Amino acid sequence: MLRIEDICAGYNGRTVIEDINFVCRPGELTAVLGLNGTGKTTLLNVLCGLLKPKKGKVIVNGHDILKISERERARNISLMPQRHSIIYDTKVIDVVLTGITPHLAFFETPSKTHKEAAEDILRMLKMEQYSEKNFLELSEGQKQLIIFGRTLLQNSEIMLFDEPDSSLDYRNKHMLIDKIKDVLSSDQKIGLVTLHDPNLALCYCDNIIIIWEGTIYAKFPTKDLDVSYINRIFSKLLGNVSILCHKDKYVIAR
Amino acid sequence: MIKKSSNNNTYVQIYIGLLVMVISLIISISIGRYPISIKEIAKIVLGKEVSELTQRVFLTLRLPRTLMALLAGAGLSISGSVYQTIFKNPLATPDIIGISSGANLGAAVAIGLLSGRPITVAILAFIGGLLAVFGALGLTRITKNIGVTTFILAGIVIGSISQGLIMLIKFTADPERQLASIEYWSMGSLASVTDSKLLSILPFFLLGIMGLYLLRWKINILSLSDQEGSSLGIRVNRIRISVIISATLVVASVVSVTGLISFIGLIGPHIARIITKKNDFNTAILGGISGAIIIIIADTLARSLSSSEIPISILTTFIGAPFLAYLMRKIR
Repeated sequence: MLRIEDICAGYNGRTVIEDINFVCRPGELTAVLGLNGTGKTTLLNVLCGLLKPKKGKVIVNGHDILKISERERARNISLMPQRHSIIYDTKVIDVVLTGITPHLAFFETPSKTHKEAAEDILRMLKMEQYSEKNFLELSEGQKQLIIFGRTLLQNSEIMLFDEPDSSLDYRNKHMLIDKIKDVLSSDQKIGLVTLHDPNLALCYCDNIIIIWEGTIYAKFPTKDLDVSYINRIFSKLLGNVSILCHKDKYVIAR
Repeated sequence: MIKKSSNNNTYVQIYIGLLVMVISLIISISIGRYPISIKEIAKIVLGKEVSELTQRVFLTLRLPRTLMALLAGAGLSISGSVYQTIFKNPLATPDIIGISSGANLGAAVAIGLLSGRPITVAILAFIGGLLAVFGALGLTRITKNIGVTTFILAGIVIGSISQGLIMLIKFTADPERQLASIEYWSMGSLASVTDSKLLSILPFFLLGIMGLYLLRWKINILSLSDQEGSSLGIRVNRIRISVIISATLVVASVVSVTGLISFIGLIGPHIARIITKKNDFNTAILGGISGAIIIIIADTLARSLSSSEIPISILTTFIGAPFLAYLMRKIR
């Protein structure tokens, strides 16, 4: 279980987020929604240890992971960025293989076993025919899938996703989130994803957390939703919207 | 299902590169003002008797000079490759963090203000290079959020200060002797390499290469954004500094003996990347081999094209600039 306790953080003396409390459970995907600049990325940066919070704790299985080494933390929490930052020609298999880094000793390099694990992941993602291809020549959808593969090799209990859909087309968005959902439920991992599209959140996520001006404005499970409640919440966030019902799921339209 | 691994390909490419390097090494040893035939080289290697003069030229001049060419090409190319990787910039060179300017300043001080003896020049160039890098690293600490840009800006600051001081020394230097030597130093040459110089820089060179070799996997990870590196469990800043210090040892030990050699830190790594289509440490090694071959050939030309020695940067620039134009096509 992941428990965020009373996180308060910001940059250069300015507070961006405060009073953040919530809990995520294994097998579930939690969405963090919010407008630009409300502190979603700041929250992720705190969780993955990039930004030291002014106060608060991030508890994983009873331990505060803000107090452990980078390497140990990376074995507990992985992050899939909005967009990969690979600029040099790299084989697809080698991109996946970088996910093993937190499991290596200081001067160690990946072994044959690690490489086989990376190949297994490519097979699972049905990307094995691209193993020896140049990562930079793949489509954006395939690239994000490979970066997800790297996260899978990292094999942490908690998986963070920072707007993983932002550079993807409609079809690839759904494909990627489907894969993420599959892994979370089959391996009982804890998933936390920041999103801009409320419909993706309503359709795929188990819980939704809405951040407004640096604090949690609302948090609710997507099961058994009260339409008037979410109408009020989303209208505040997005302007006047209507909630439609489509195949047991709610859809937001404006 | 067994697939042909791309790693095996890289190993084959490295072996072929090594073979070409050894051949150019032997040819280079045989060419010079005092020619040594390949038969004589074989005799010396096998421990058979040759004339004493041939033996002396081989052991104290030709062999050290050619080996230094090898070290210079390999060291500058491997460091160049590493700098390009960790600064996420395919055009980065060792000067990005101020090392060449620092070494140049050290040499200028030795020539313009001190005795100007070759050993003083080498020692001060070495110290100057290291001081410049440590100065730049210290300068990065004045900001809170240290990123790649911080290092590059710090390098520019230190580089500019060094350049200013160099100009000051040049302005006051005796134009006949000192100014000419300072200029000549910054164009690079392997003419003054001796066995004792080679042996005295070798430990620093090997220490630096060893550091880079041990950190090879982390160097790879540093090519990603700091956010990704950190989320993969790397202490980004600490590793980056260790890598910079290792690469600096390599570059400083080379340029303290040879002077500045332009472009080689750019050509070697890019040739290797074009061949392997990767950017891992094996590619950096192949880049080192490519760089070594180029410098060995360039130095052979430098001492045989005309009756006086040609500075090596003249030759590497004429190879490097067209190559850069070729890269312009490739880099988006």
